[in-house]
Amino acid sequence: MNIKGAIGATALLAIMSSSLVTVDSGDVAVIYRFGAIDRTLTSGLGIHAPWPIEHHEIVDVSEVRRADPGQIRMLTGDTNLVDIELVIQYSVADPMAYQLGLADGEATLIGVVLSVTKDIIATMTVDSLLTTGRAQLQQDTETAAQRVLDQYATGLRIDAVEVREIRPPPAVLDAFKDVSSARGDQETFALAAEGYASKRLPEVRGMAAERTESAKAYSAGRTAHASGDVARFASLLQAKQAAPESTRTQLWAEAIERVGQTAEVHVLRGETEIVLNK
Amino acid sequence: MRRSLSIGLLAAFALAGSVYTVDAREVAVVLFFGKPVETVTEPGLKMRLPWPLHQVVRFDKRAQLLMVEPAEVLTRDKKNLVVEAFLLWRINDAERFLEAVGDPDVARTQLSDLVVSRIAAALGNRDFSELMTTEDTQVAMLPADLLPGIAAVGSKRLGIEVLDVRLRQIGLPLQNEQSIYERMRAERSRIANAYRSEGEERASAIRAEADRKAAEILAGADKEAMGIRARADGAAAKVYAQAYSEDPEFYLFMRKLQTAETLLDEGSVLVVDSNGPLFDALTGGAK
Repeated sequence: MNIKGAIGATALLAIMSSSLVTVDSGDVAVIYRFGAIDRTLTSGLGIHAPWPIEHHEIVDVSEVRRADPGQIRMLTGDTNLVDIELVIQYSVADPMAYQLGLADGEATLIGVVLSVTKDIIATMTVDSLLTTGRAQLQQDTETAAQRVLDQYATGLRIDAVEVREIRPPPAVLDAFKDVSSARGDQETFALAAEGYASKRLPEVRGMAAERTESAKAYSAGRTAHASGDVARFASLLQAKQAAPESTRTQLWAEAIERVGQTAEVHVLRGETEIVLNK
Repeated sequence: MRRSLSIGLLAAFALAGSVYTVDAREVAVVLFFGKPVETVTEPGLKMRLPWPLHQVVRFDKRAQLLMVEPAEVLTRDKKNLVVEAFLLWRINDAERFLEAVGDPDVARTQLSDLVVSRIAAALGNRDFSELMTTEDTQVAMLPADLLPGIAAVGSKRLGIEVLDVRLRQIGLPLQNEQSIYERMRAERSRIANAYRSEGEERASAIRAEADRKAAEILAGADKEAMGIRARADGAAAKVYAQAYSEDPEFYLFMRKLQTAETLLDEGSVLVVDSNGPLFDALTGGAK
């Protein structure tokens, strides 16, 4: 009797516990009755008929899930190859459709995203993909992939397709790096030339100033010299007017004396030449 | 008493064996001695005759993904491509599916073969340049009639509905990748050269401009310097002319003396005639 009672109580407890369901916030419990979906329960404590009449399955509708297709090599519109790494973020938008729609949800999602990515990349140039086209690629892929998914009634929503990496294959990476260093060289050449120009011009302006300054110095010297000469002339003229002959002789003699101090003086008598000094 | 109990137990077993459930994700086929008699698509609690009269076979009725193995195809312009297709399909007519293939794995193999041959035929009608182009003329890689064609075969032969056929990836065989790499390298080196020679061009333009400006500055300075000198010379000439006009004869005498003195500097040789006035000066007039 006691044993029977214990068995009965345990069975009752088992039935009770299979009837209770705790749904965390962000989750949805889908209640199946004899295999058919009967209703859903959102957050809180719920109750349903015991197994085998009813059972429940929990679907997390708030979690952002990540699907990672790995690195894929794709052909661009200008027939270059690029290696691309995507991360797809998605979540369950409709728990019932999610339960009934796809047998292989994530793999199908990856297939669809790769398929539309490949189509879009096949219209883009490698240069645009490696630079400004990346954001466009992400956005176009998201839109196109979601449109395809909606046709299948998957219950899935794509939150983001993130292009984590897009680069030329390793075999040609050096050639692409050389282009960026060539772009650097282009800058360097121009900078060096600008450096030359910014050194050359001040130098030349210095030379120009030197030339005009030396002309001004010449000018000043010339003026001073002329007025010195004229002053001397004026005073000698005065002396000459006072005593014309003696002044002339005096001046001539002084000049000859000065010449005699520097130049060699030879005397020519008939055919004979006599050296007087040196 | 004992007999009625065993009859009751038997009845309970029979009843238990006659009740079954069909899940919302399943389709069930009821077989009578191995022959399909009913397809149950609605989920819920169902009745049947007890074993061995009735048997129930279940299939997943959700859309299933079929990844087709990569296959090499040839475009119309004889370019090799490696395509990786996938297919989304679900069981539509469970009885036909059971009769035709019975086993989902067999269905997969048959579908794969069908898809590869249809895609090969479709891409054989396309030029590579149509598939890969940055022009607006790009056509859909797979023709619009590909899916209906495969779907018709699937429905008729396998009892399935084909929801979609897509190319997951389209690539090149390894040996063809090499030639693409060659071209990519050549293209990059052309671009790199263009950058470098543009840089050199710009640099020499900058240098030439600097040199031109320098020449202009120097020429301007020379012109100014010449002007300054010319004005100074002019002013000096005017000053000398003024002096000259006061006593031309004496001025010329002075100028000659000065010239003679300037010319007869160190190292010059002055030759004096013994009959001239200079010799007279040297001898102090004593003949």
